[in-house]
Amino acid sequence: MTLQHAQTLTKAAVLELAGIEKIYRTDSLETVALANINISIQQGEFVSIMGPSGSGKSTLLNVLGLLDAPSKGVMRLHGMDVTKLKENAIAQVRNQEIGFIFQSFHLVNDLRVLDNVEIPLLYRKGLSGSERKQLALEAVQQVGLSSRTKHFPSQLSGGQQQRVAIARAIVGKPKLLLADEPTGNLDSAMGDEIMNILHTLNREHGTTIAMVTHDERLAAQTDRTIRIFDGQQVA
Amino acid sequence: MLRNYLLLAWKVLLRRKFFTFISLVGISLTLATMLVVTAIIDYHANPPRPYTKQARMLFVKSVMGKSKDFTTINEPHYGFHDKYVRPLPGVEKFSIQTESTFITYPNGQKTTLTAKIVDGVFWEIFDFEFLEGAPFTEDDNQQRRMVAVVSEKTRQRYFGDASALGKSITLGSKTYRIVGVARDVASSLSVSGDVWYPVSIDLTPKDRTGVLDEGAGGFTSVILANNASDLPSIQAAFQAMLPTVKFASSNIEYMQAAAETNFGVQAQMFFGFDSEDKDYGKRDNATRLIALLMALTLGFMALPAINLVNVNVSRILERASEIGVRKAFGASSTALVGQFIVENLVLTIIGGAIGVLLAEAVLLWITSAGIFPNAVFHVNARVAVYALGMSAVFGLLSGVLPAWKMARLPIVQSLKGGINA
Repeated sequence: MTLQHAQTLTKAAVLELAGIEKIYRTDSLETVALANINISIQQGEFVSIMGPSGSGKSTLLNVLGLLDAPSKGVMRLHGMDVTKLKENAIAQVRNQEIGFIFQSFHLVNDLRVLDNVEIPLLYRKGLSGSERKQLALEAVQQVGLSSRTKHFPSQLSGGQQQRVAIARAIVGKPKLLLADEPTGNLDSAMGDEIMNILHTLNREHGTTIAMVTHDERLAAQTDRTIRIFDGQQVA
Repeated sequence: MLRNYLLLAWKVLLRRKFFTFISLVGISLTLATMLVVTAIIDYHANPPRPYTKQARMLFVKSVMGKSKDFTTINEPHYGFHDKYVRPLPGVEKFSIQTESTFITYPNGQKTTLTAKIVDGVFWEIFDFEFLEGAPFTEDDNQQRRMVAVVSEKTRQRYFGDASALGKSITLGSKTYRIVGVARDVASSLSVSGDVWYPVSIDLTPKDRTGVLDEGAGGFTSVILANNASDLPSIQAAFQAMLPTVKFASSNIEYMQAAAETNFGVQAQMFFGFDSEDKDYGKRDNATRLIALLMALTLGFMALPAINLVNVNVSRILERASEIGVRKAFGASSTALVGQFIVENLVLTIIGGAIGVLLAEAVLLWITSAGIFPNAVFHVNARVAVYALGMSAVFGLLSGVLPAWKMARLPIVQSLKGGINA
């Protein structure tokens, strides 16, 4: 652990989960996806979430990112209880505070790289078109894709597409970055490139990152690992 | 935001060329069909000059005479209109017309002129626009004064840019003094002509007393009612009058005819004349034609409309992941619905514009082919506004529901690929 990391850990928690449960109900079936999850993620931390398939780690990441509402429990983002917010307010919180990186990139194929990166800024009030463009260019530069701004996603390799997705995730300068198996669809060389970018964002920009992964090698590179088994937090 | 939606809509249209093509074909065909029908209905609801009083008019044109040996469908004599139609109750104004053609040589150029031979009341029923002078009067007609109205085109042929008032025009062996110049109307209209002169001048005793059985008549008449609501009672009185008609020769035993609205006349022309038709004059041709038009409209519209809704649903379903991403990054459901509606509106408005061009081409063909002989159809400003409205409604209807459904979808489900994920 670096000195810088030691300092960040003393800062206030970015995310706090207390007694979180997620239950999926159908007419005849009740599935407990998460049970009694208590997590605190400090500012500047790089946390990995591990567990076997179906253990609930992606569900946990969705709850952390306000993509899915917990069935029970309290979740605080920067000390604010976000479980009671209405849809539009939650959308604003996601827009301002959280960036997402998905395993399958989820780029919009009809849009060029720069337009894809610009997406989060479209839903942020008070930004002009030229400001949006400038911020998007900076984000693209940060992931080393300045020469590909006018390409469409289909014209890029998998690694490049994931870098575009990272640029999109960081363009709004979120405090929390959530990555769902960001290297899962990439070969090891490209995966390492992506991990390097994430480490740079974490170390040099102080971005808090929570990453779901299957890969012990990648988890070992993070500050700590939260382990989930059958929807329960085991470590 | 709107600029961005428009930009994205444009990009989506360009990137998905096949989808755009299929959608545009569907939208433009659907709207063109709606526009053609709208233009036809609009023409009758808001007729241009000289038919502005059309809602109060009834026309008596071809009638069917039946004998033991033959059936004749012809325009009757002056006498039939004058003796049997003019006195019908509820008639405010009544005019009888016929027509003839003359070969003339203005400025040494051989020209065929169509003469409309009308009474003075004709000009009170049909509101022609006069560029010079005024129409002749009923008194001119009764006194058999040798006066004429010429069309703008005839004035140009005979006198160039000079005034035609007071000058003469010779038709056959007779010379007429020009008292007025009327603005040209579409040549397909039954009242259109190159020159108009009083009907009394050429009337023979046979014309005055004849009904249907003494050779070709060739006269038509038009009734102007006080109110449009009087038309059915006048039509009923017309039918009640028919059995009372006395024929000069015993060949024809009875006649069948109708006093029809302009649309009814067009409908009769559309369906054609059949000498074996036992219900000639009794059938409501206008309603038949409207029913046929509606059926055709529905037939032509239904498939493209259903297709468009389907294409829209699959297009939006296909973009489930994009919806998930946009929501994850802060888009509200309302913003997403707005985006898809703008995309759909852009598409339907482009389709609407193509539809207007298609509709205009079809209407030009309908007019030139004489399918509705006494009408000139166009996509005018009013119909174009309808088109814009219809495009917008079509865009909203075919886009709103799938857009709203998808925008309300939970993000996690959208990211997995949509409704069935």
